[in-house]
Amino acid sequence: MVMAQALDDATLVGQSMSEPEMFATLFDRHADEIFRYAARRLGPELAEDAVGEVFLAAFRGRARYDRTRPDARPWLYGIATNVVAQHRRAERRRTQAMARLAPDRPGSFDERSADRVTAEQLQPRLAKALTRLSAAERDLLLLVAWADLTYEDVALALDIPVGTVRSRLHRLRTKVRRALGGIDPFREEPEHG
Amino acid sequence: MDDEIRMFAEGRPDVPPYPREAREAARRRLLEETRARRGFRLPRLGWQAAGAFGLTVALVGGVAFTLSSTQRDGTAARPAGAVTVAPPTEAVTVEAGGELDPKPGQFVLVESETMYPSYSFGEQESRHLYRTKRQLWRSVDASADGLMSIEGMEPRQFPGWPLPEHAQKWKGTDWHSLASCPDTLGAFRNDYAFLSTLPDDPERMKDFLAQRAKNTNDDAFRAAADLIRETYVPKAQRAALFAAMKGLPGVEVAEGVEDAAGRKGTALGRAAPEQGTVEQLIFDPETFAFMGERGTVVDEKAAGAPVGTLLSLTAQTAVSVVDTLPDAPTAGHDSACDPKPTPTGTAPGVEPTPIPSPPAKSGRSADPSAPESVEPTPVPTETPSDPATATVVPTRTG
Repeated sequence: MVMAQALDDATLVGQSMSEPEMFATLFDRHADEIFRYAARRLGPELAEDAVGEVFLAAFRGRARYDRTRPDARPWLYGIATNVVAQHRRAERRRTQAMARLAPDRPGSFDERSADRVTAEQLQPRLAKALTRLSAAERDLLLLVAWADLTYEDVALALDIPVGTVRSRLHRLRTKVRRALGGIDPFREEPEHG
Repeated sequence: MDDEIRMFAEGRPDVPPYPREAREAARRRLLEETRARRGFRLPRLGWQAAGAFGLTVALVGGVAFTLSSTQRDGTAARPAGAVTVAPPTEAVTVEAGGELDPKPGQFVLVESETMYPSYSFGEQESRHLYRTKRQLWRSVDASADGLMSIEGMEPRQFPGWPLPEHAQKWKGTDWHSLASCPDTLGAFRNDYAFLSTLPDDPERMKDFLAQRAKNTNDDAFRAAADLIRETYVPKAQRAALFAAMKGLPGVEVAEGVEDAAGRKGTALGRAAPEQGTVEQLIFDPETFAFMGERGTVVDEKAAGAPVGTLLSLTAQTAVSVVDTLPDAPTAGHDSACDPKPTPTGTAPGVEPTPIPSPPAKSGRSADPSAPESVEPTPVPTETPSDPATATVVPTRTG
């Protein structure tokens, strides 16, 4: 007896061609993760809708899933990226709102000290840096940073060669560094990569 | 990970967990969609839905077209006779009692008429009821690939929604090859040989249904429906299935319920509160042969249509056994069962290619006016502008 849970994503997608309900197992597997990603980019409220849209789009496009890929996450993230793009305006508002927090926080000496800067306090600055990136660069950066995808997976998700992923990341790191004030806030070290 | 990226990784906003209610709603929506498209192997409607959603579903992630071809040939379907067990079409052995006796190597042909709701989202939300005539040939013992034809019938309006433009492209017939891979399917097989091995007593049948339902996170009622749609279940198993379903929680029996062909039978129904409907499966009261199904609105708010509206209505108009498949040159190849190379982690097809040089805004200016001008959406290499007439050549680039 074959358990749906035991099948890899590619097999599930394949079976869902004749047994469409099997696709729900894919939702069960990945919906939480896609929600987290969408919520980070769009805020939790919009993300609720976005996740539904991602899986509906995935289901409708499932015939085009490349079944040599056992893991559907890159594919789903690729769709999620496009759904986020449709909500782009919302995302921009969110990013700008986060960025606006920055000047409101004068910051004590401790906060400004590189050693004490926590990720959370850094957020408005990062948000500001994000607004300096193009939409394509944001997609790339956030898939790597927030979705924990490998470069190869990101390449799949965005449908670009992995070499392009590397070169674009290199460029956008430079941009980010500049946006953050020209120095690496964590430690001083020469440009690399 | 490089520092700049790590900063973003560590600075990722905290987000609440996916709210249970929203999660369940999204899953229900998806399941509704899967039911509406049940059995559709990329029909024209699938393309239309994709079209309605725009580029969002078009070629994401370097995927290849792996679909069966969807060319149309305008073949007219035979008029469907209103019989449950059809007279022989080519080679049929009918036992006493009107039962079919499919033999290994043959095919069971099920002909049906269907009407299901179609929901499209995206830029232009739309709803309508799409109707089709279907013929499905399935190998008796899963030893050969099957075949399916779907002929469009004139769509109907979903109450309160105008017929969307894409619904007008309903004419013509699509042929689809159905690959057979019993080993992969395991307990999800639906061929006659497999169905013959199912329990012939209601209690054990119930267990089987529960098991299958568990694997799809569905309920036993729907697992049973999946088992009998477009299949031929031997009489003993049919009787067991009917009795098992009758005993499921919430199932109610109704007599004289009509299917899409106007035939009356005994319905086993139960409420589907999330859809605002009652789902009924209609059976021949004597042979327990599956006749059709019916989805009727009982909750206007949940269904988005007035109480009493028929949102789905089908009839299995004929079941027969044939020796060979008809010629269907446009059916194409179904890659569902193709052997999969098992890549370890990374994709074999993706090579670190020479770095192309996108318009580099060289070093100096982090141009703040640029952000919204760059669209990341990969341009699909193949987006049929007219989904209904697109010829898709199956290719694999994996």
